[in-house]
Amino acid sequence: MLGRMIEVSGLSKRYGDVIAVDDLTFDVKPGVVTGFLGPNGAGKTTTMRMVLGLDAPTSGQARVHGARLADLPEPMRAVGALLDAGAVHPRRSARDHLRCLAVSNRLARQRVDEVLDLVGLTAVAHRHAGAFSLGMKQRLGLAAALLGDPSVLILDEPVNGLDPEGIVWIRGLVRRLAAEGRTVLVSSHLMAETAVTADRLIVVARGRLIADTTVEAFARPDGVLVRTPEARRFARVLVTEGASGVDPAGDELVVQGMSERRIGELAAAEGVVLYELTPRRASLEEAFMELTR
Amino acid sequence: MIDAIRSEWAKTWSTRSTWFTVALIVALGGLFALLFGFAAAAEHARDPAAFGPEPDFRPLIFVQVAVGYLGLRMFTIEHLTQTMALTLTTVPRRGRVLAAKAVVCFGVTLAVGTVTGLVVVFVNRAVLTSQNMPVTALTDPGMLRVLAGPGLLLALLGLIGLAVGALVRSTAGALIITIVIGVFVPAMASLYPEWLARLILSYLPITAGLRLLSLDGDPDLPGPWAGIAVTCAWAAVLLVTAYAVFRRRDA
Repeated sequence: MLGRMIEVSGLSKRYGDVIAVDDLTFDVKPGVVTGFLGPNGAGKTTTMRMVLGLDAPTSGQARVHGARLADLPEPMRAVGALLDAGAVHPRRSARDHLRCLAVSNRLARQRVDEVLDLVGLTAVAHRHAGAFSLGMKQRLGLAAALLGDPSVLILDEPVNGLDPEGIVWIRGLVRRLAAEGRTVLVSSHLMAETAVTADRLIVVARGRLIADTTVEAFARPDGVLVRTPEARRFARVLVTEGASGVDPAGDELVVQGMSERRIGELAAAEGVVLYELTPRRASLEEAFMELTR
Repeated sequence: MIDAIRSEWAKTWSTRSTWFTVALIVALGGLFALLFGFAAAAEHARDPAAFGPEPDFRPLIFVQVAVGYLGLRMFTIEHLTQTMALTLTTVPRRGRVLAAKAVVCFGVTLAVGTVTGLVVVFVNRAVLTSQNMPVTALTDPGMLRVLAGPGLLLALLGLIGLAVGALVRSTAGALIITIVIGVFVPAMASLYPEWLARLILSYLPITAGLRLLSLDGDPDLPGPWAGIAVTCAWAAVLLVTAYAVFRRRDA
């Protein structure tokens, strides 16, 4: 079943001596939000442009719905993309901007008003897009991407320029679109932002694939922090019961290889007072920095 | 294909600059017809052999810059505003995008060019008549060609502008090429040796195309249909080149 998927295989892009994208292979599946993560200049936008057929790969290929975008009969129903929110004619009204796009794929006229409403631009639809703030342009760009009600969405840094309210709104929107069964690829250079919305992560750095994983697996569990006045005694108990590591320091223990649930049960059984019992995760930002260094 | 044309049509008329450019084309035609008309009348007063009664289409040399701008802007504005990426994700077949732009460009410039041609002819006649100079009768054989021809010539020049815009991508760059090749080179023809001047007059898109509108039957220059065929060939070669480049180039 190749429908609804984005498939990237052996994709490379070279500009002279500079390798922008280096042999990338990954799939983006429907029904979940896939975060496309990497520092600035990692090749995210170039990869997205190659998936959309805007830039030609030096080698490898990118397919959507099992085909090149140019070979799909109804491109806007197949794929919606937000690449550059600034990409509007400054002297064309928001509604006209969307209408020009809608007629190119024979979309119903009321679809323009529907997406304007969806992104909250109905009241300013008659205004020139050049007068819009970056946040409003992002919303207009999203409206354009959603115009064809596409089953695959490709969004490049959609939260850029949005105010906090807009960011919360777009998180909800992106998750809802994925829950409807669409394939959603969202790029970002912000790990924390991506972690909130994405289920899967594709991490790139310097054009190479670093990780293709889930957000949960990416932020590996890093022991359980226990605070207790009887740290030394409890540490011995935990080791006897199978913890692979305890690291007592004052009244703190960092326990490896044992769930917080088991630790709590042992504390109750041994009558040990606990002040704190907290599973630790490596900070996502740290994991990201570590991987993309 | 029809949908792509409708999209380009909507893009063309949803910005005010198109309306300005169209108005400018007609206004330039009228203005230069007026200027050239009075200049011709003054010259005629000194030397009656200097100007004949035929319509004077030199205003189109200036009009073609605005017509070329109308064409080249269809590509350069999309590169300037970065909307080409959006255009090509909604209509990913690049040949289709180019063809749709060409159809709209041809249609608009054919209509505007025809109106402008009539404005040029009738302003010119009005000026000459007011200065008691003879004008060619509208019933003269060949007059139909002269009245209907400017639309075709300007539509072909619009397509050439479109192709240059697609190749160069920058408005300023494409406009400079249009002005240099379209206006400067032919305007300085009297400075060149005769063989070069004749070559330029016979083979530049504007000067060859203007032969379509001539009634002089000059044996040293191409006939009406040979002249416009040269302009056609320019448009065809440039459009094919633009397609070859646009199809492969990163957008």
